[in-house]
Formats: sequence, structure tokens, C-alpha cells
Amino acid sequence: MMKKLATREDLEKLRKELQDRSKKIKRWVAVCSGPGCHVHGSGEVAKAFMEEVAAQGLEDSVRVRATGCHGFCEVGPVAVIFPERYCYVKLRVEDVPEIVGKTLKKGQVVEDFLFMDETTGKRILYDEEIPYYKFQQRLLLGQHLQIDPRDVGDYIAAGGYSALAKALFDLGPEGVLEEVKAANLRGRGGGGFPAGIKWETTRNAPGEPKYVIVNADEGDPGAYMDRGILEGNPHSVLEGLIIGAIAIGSTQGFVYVRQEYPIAVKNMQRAIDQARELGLLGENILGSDFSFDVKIHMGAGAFVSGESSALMTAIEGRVGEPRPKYIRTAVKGVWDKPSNLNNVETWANVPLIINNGADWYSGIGTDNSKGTKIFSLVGKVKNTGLVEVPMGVSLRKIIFDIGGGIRGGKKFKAVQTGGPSGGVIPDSLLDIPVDYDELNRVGSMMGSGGMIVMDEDTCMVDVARYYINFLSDESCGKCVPCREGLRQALRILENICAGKGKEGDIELLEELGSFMKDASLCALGQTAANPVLSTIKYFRGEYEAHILEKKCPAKVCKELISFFIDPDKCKACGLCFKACPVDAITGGKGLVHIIDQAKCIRCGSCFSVCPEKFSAVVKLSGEPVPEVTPGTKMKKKAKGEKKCKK
Amino acid sequence: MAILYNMFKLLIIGQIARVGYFSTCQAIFLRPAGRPPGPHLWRHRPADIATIVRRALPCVCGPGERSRIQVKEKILWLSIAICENVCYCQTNDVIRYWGKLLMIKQKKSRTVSIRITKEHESMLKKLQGVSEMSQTDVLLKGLEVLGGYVGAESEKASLGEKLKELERAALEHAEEIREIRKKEDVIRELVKELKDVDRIIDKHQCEPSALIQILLEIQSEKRWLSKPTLIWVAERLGVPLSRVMHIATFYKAFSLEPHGRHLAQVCLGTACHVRGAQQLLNKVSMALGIRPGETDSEMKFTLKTVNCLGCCALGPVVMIDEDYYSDPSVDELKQIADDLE
Ligand SMILES: Cc1cc2nc3c(=O)[nH]c(=O)nc-3n(C[C@H](O)[C@H](O)[C@H](O)COP(=O)(O)O)c2cc1C
Ligand code: SF4
Ligand code: FES
Repeated sequence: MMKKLATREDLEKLRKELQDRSKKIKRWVAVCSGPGCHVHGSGEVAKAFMEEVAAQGLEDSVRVRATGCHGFCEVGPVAVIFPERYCYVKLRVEDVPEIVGKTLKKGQVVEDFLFMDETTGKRILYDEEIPYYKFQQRLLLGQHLQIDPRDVGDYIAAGGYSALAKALFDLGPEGVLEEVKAANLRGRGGGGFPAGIKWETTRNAPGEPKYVIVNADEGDPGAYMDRGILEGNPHSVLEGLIIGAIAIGSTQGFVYVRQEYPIAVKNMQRAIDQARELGLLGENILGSDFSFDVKIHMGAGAFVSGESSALMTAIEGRVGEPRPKYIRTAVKGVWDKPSNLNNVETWANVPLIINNGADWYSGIGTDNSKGTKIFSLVGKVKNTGLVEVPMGVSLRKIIFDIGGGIRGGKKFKAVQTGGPSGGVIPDSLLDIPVDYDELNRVGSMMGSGGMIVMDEDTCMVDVARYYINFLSDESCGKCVPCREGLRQALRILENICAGKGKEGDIELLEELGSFMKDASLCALGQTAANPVLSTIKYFRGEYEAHILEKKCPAKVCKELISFFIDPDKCKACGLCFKACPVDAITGGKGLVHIIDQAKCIRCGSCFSVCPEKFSAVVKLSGEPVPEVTPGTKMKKKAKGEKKCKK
Repeated sequence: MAILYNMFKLLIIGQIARVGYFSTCQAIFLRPAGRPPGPHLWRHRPADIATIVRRALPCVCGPGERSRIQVKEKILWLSIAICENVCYCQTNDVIRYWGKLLMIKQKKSRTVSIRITKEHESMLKKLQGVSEMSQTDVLLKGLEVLGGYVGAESEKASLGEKLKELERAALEHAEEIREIRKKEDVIRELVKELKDVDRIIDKHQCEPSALIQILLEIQSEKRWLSKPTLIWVAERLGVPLSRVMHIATFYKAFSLEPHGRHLAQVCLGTACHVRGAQQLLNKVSMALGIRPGETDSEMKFTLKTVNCLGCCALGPVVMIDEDYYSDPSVDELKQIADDLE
């Protein structure tokens, strides 16, 4: 049980105490327990660290923290050892005793666990020198390394809630508002609306009480930045929210989290409880006359509920469908009271701005987009994970320098940003700086920060079909252009993918798109055509190949491809024969295996089991499948070639 | 003697399982002819059973015999009367048929008494452990043995008939009891369910604005929203049922059918899609033997697809209960499924 903090001095005293206490700690290890590392088994690794530290009697001088996401999910589980910042990657439970014995006890490095740079073949000592991190500016994600998200003490020791005290006692509501406006903080959840201006609207709107809300619905598939922050540093979001409430004059806040993120819900709830216990929430915060409290509201799985008016309806306990916004939600939101909604990342930026000042903040980024932005760099890129870069960095830098380029030596094709409301950006535009306006200009958008990299094996028509399918599933169906427009667009795209496309389909899609854009009620419908329009804009040739030649150049669309076993390469190993679920493959010992095209369901099992060194199974599209006579003998191995063992 | 042993075994199993075997046994032998079978012999106190036995006995053993029944409590005796090669057994610490319990006087009758020693007891415990039968099964098994015996070896047809008739009645009786029990169970379940729902509603102070939260909690606890639950929630919160239904059908998190004990969710989000989510879905489907949206017949697994699990860096991913797996193979999936209860 922690003592309630009655004044600002109490807070500072507590901070001092916590910092003094941690001075005794000689070394500490931050074991990433973010979503990515978690899948790789970081939970067990963290536990092993704790047990091993205890077993070696180091409890007094070493601390183990299970922290939020560090970012580099690809090489998880990751552990960074402080104060040196040695970074160990791909850890297993067995590795822990050695690390504890050598690094934590004596400060020696264990080379084997360091990250190896493939291009130079050298091991890299410190996390910040790994190329993946080197080009980032981790203002938000960097905090995760210092903090156990379950421990408010860590957050306070790292300077937490000082921005709140500053806002309460030095700046006051007007001061906070000025600061946020001057920093030109723009919303990180989608549209990029300036937060300061939205806050001011709510502040000046008539009606009490006023509400402030965190949008952690994160429905954009392929994006998990908000999850990373909520799980890794819930107090930063909470502190931002309280500061916003001060500026706006709100007494009640909500955090709207999707139920698919149980750990985020848990960590946020714990953070709220701890803050309440410390008197950082509730009546008379830190002895001031400002009172504020927060409640968590769980989303139940609907993309459209992330839209502002829909989200507010959901908080009222009704179905989360958008409503017409003749009056903005900032003026009339939850229960028709002024309500200010911001994204998780937007809120998490607020304490930074208050602590360091608007001048510092607006020094980062481009003219119209300030600060850093977290992207979830996923898809066919080599290094996947969360990436935090200053606005204005080029896409090329993100994908190639940080992301390490495309996996498996394939060719880059496009990157999709902005989720279902955004679009694809081709190779030729990779050098544009990433900021709100530039991305809009090329037909995509910043969105919440999903960045899905696609390589030559991705079919752009299939991607468009995927998004339209997603959206037609998620459309609430309230207005006709969106509901019916999406249905028709989906039909057309499905036909194209199935080789039944007609000439004129592309133009029809474009027309449908512009109609939906003009006539839909909410942004879901208004932007729904973006994935289609942008793929048409940059990859029209691919659409035409599907329609005119009945060919899928990326060899993805099932109906347009056939699998074929190259008789010259087949080594009659029988793997595909065993893998085929419909027994479409015939063959025998020493005989070339043959796929019966009539039976084949194109599941791709044979393709994925055929050993890479043979690569005998190939995909064909838009060309006839060559005939092979049954009983053809397998090609004898060339002289000198070693016999391949089973 | 083998029959004797079987009877002994069955009886004791029934006994130790503290089942209705004993009382149902009464029903076999002692239900008054012409009276409808019913649960009237169930759940009587031992003393009452003795009375019932007394009252019912005449129709089996004729008038004047009733005085032969002695009722004593807490005596661990087992008496088995064999008459015309038919076992008449009574046991328990409550009732004993003493001496010549010759309901139908025949020459070859004899009485066997076995004292249950400590050894017996431990042996019987073992027997019960091996058999692991439910009450009803023990009863039916007993009847089977009896019936078979009677059919094969009884010389006296009428006695066999009588027994058969009694057996039929006993079966009906057991069936009826099972039905009643079933109904009772359903009602008990419903009451329990609504009590749980009540607890959740009360936790949210009966606030209509907490409707979605309440449904979410019920869903996560019960794994589905049943019709009575939805009606009850609407009733308690004072919101129209149509609104509750609107929510329950709008959101993906709710299910109007019971889910299996375990939930497998395959992500079809964009990041997973471009990295082969569809193939993973096929694999999971193959490993579990169900298609997306289905639950297997044993209620073990439900397979669902979702739009994003927030593990996009490791796509394609599947979440089974609380654990995430990055692109597992069919064999791994089978292993995971087998490891779960
Ligand atoms: C269909 C739809 C879904 C949305 N989903 C989200 C979401 O999951 N998270 C989010 O922060 N914003 C989402 N938004 C954007 C919100 O409407 C809103 O603009 C945003 O939360 C405002 O916060 P910001 O100004 O900090 O960006 C969505 C918008 C639409 C139209
Ligand atoms: S545009 Fe689509 S999602 Fe938005 S309100 Fe209309 S139907 Fe619903
Ligand atoms: S897209 Fe699959 S977890 Fe996010």
C-alpha cells in the first residue's frame, strides 16, 4: 500500500526515495515482454532471469524487469542489460544462467547472444548501435526499457508525473493548451487533426461535465503500436490524459480498449488503480483543487467502433455505430456533452511536450508534422517490429535501413500505410518524407501507423480484394453508398481474381470509389475506396493482366494459377505425394511425380514441402501446363553430385 | 458361486458408491404390484425405507412374513438369500433379512451370510475404483446380470417372469428418475447461470450504460450468451431486448452459440494475410477437424477468424486460448490440441 501524495513535494520526495533506492542496484536487465517477444517465449525467459538472479544470490545488486515492447520483435526475446546497454537477442531459457553469471555478476559480455549484423558479419554490443535502432528516435518506445509497466514506482523514478505537477501548478489550463498548440501535436489515430485545436473546441463548448477519452480500439489490422504503448507504459497515456483533462476542464475520462488486448486492459487497469492509490487520480489531485477519474471501457470487436461518434455511442452502452456529425463530437459527444477523443499515442506524447516544452518538440519533424511517429513495420520486411522515427524520414530509410529490406532476397513491390483507409505506395515514391501531408498527396495516409511491406509475391488485386472484403464485413450498414458500394466492389474484385473480370471493371471500380467517397456518412465509407484506387493508380497493369490475360503476375490468385512439377528437377522424394490432401499427385520410387490438374485444389501444400534445394514445384499463371507422361524416370544425378540423403 | 460373487460385487459397488442401488434394489424387489413406479423409494431415510420394505414385502413374500424383517442400524452385515437359485440380497447397515428369508418356500433354499472385514472393505473400494460406474449404470448392470441369470437357469418360469417384470419396472423407474434428474439439472443450471449473471450485473450497479461491458463479462465467463441470459439482462437493466440483441449480434466478440472449452483464433489481418494467413487457417482447420466458425462435437474447440491479434510482426499467428503461436505446423498444432484437456 502506497501513501497518498498530498502535495507536489510529496511526489518529489517519493521520486527521490525511489531513485536513491535504485542506486543500490548495480545492474539491471530489461527483458522485453511485448507482444512479439511474448510469442517467442519471453515470459519464461524473464522468469528464468528472476530465478537465476535469486539462485546466484544477486537480488540486492541486480534487478530484473519484464518490460514493454522494445521494438525489435523479429529477434525476440530481447534483453538489454544496463547500465552498459548490452543487447542480447533470440534468448532461450537455457542461456539465462550464463548471462546472469557473466554479464550481470561481472559485467562480461557473452558474444554468442549479441545481435549479428548480416552485412558485416560483426556482432554488435549495444542496442542503440544495431542498425534497426540506430536510425530511430525512440522518445516513447525508449521509455519502455526503463519501466516495469506493472510498477508505478519505476515510472515515477524515471521522471513520471512531473509533467502532471508542472501542468497543475506551473502552467494551468491555459498554459497547457498553449504549449500543446504551439507544439503542433497532431492526432496519431488517423486524420492528424491538431490536438490543441480539438482540446480548445471541447474546452469552449457549452455543457458540463466534459469528457476526455483515449481511443485504444486499434482496429486497423496489421498495426499494434497502441498495444505496445498500453502494455509497456500505461502511465504515460494516463498522465497525458490527466493533463488533457486539466486543459479541457474535464472531470471524467474513459479509456476505450479493444477486448482482444487483455494484457493491455490489465496493465491499464492496474495503472489506474495505482494512480488512484497515490492520489494522482480522484479528488484534489496532488492537493490541488482539480479532480478527475478514469474508467476503462472495453470494445467488443468492431472496426467501425473506433470512429469517434461510434466510439462515444458505445461508451453510452449502445451499439457502436457512427452517427451524423452535424455537430462535432468535441462539442456534443458522450451523452451529448463535449467530449475530446485522442489516440493512445497522441496522449502519450503530451507529457513529453509539457516536460520539454513546445520549442523542443517542434524541433523534431517537418514543417507541418511534428514529433515522432511509431509505425508497425510488418509484412515481407526482414526486420519486423515497432519503429519510432521523427516525422519526415523517408519510407526508404524505414524499410531498407531500419527494416533491412525484403525477406528472402525478394524484390520490393509496395508498402501499404494507413490501414483500410490508406493506400499502397510503390517503389518510385519511396523517397517521399513520411508526414501527414505527403502521404495524403500520394493517395495514402498516415493512419494509425500500420506499415505493411509487400514483395513481388504479393498480388495487388488480391490486396485490394482483401481490404474491400474486410471493410464490407465491418461496414455498419447504416448508409447505402458504403454498404452497397462495398458489396459491389467486392463482387467485381472477386470476379477479377477468379479470372472472370471484364473490360470496363477498372473504370467501374473507380466510379464506385468516387461515389462512396462523396456520399458516405463516416470516414470508413469515405475512405474505403483508397486501397482500390491506389492499387489501380500504381498497378493498373496487374489489374489488366488479370482481366485481359487471365493471369496473376504475382501468382497468388488461386483460380488463375496451376502447380506443376518440373520433371527435370523432381527427385522423386515423395514429400509432395504425402502432403497432398486430395491425392492429386502420382509417382513412385525413381519416377517423376505428376500433379493431376483436374484433382488439384491449389492449396499449395506441395509447393511448400518441396525442399528448397530441388524447387521442383513451380507455380504457373497465364500459360498452359506442360504434359508429362506418367512413368517418366527421374533424371539421374549429374556426375560428382552427392547423393541426397533422405 | 460366481453369481454370488458378482452379486456381491455389484451390491457392494452400489453400496460404497453410496448410490441408490440399495434403495433402487428395494424397487426391484419390493415395489408393490400394481402401483406405478415412482421416486417414492428415493431419498428416504433408512428408517423410512424399513417401513416401506415392511409394507411392500407382503406382495412379494406373502402375508405373515413381515415379522421376519429386522431393522437395525449401523451393522455392517451383508445377507444374501438364495432361493431357487435366485439371489435375494439385502444389505447395508440398516436392514437385514434374518435367517430363513423364504418368501417363496422351496426346498433348495439357503442363506449365506458374509461378514465384511477390513480386507473386504479395501478390496471393495478397489473394485469400485476399477468400475467407475455411475449409479444408474451400476443398477442396470446388476439387472443385466440378474436377468441373464434368471433367463438361463431358473426352473420356475413364473419366478423368472416375475423377476423380468420387476426388472422392467425398475428400468422404467430408473429412466424416470433420470428424466426428473435431467429436468432438475436444467433448472439448477439455469438458476446458477442467472445467479452468475446477476453477480456481474450487480458489479456494474445495474447501469444500462454498462450493457456492453456486462455482456462481455458474461461472454468471457460462460463462453456464450444464452437466450435466458439475454432476456434476463434486458429485464434487469430495463433496456429493450431488441437493443441487447442488436449489440449481441453486432460485435464479433459475442457468440449466440456455446463455444468449445478452448478457442482457436486465426488472424486474417493484413500483415498476416500477406504472409500466408489463409494457409495457416487451412492447417488449423485440418489439425482440429473443424472449419472456421464451427465447434467440434465434443465441445473442445471452437475455431474463429479475427482481424488482428496485435502480434503482426510474427504473422501469420494463431491464438489458442491465451497463447500465441507464430505459423505452427500441422503436427505442432495437433500436439498443442492434444495437450489441452
Ligand atoms: C472506421 C474508423 C476506425 C477508426 N479506428 C480508430 C482506432 O482504432 N484508433 C484510433 O485511435 N482512431 C481510430 N479512428 C480515428 C478516430 O475516429 C479519431 O479520429 C481519432 O481517434 C482521434 O484521435 P487523434 O486526433 O488523436 O488521432 C478511426 C476512424 C474511423 C473512421
Ligand atoms: S459509411 Fe459505412 S460504416 Fe460509416 S456509417 Fe455509413 S455504412 Fe456505417
Ligand atoms: S495482422 Fe495478424 S496479428 Fe495483426
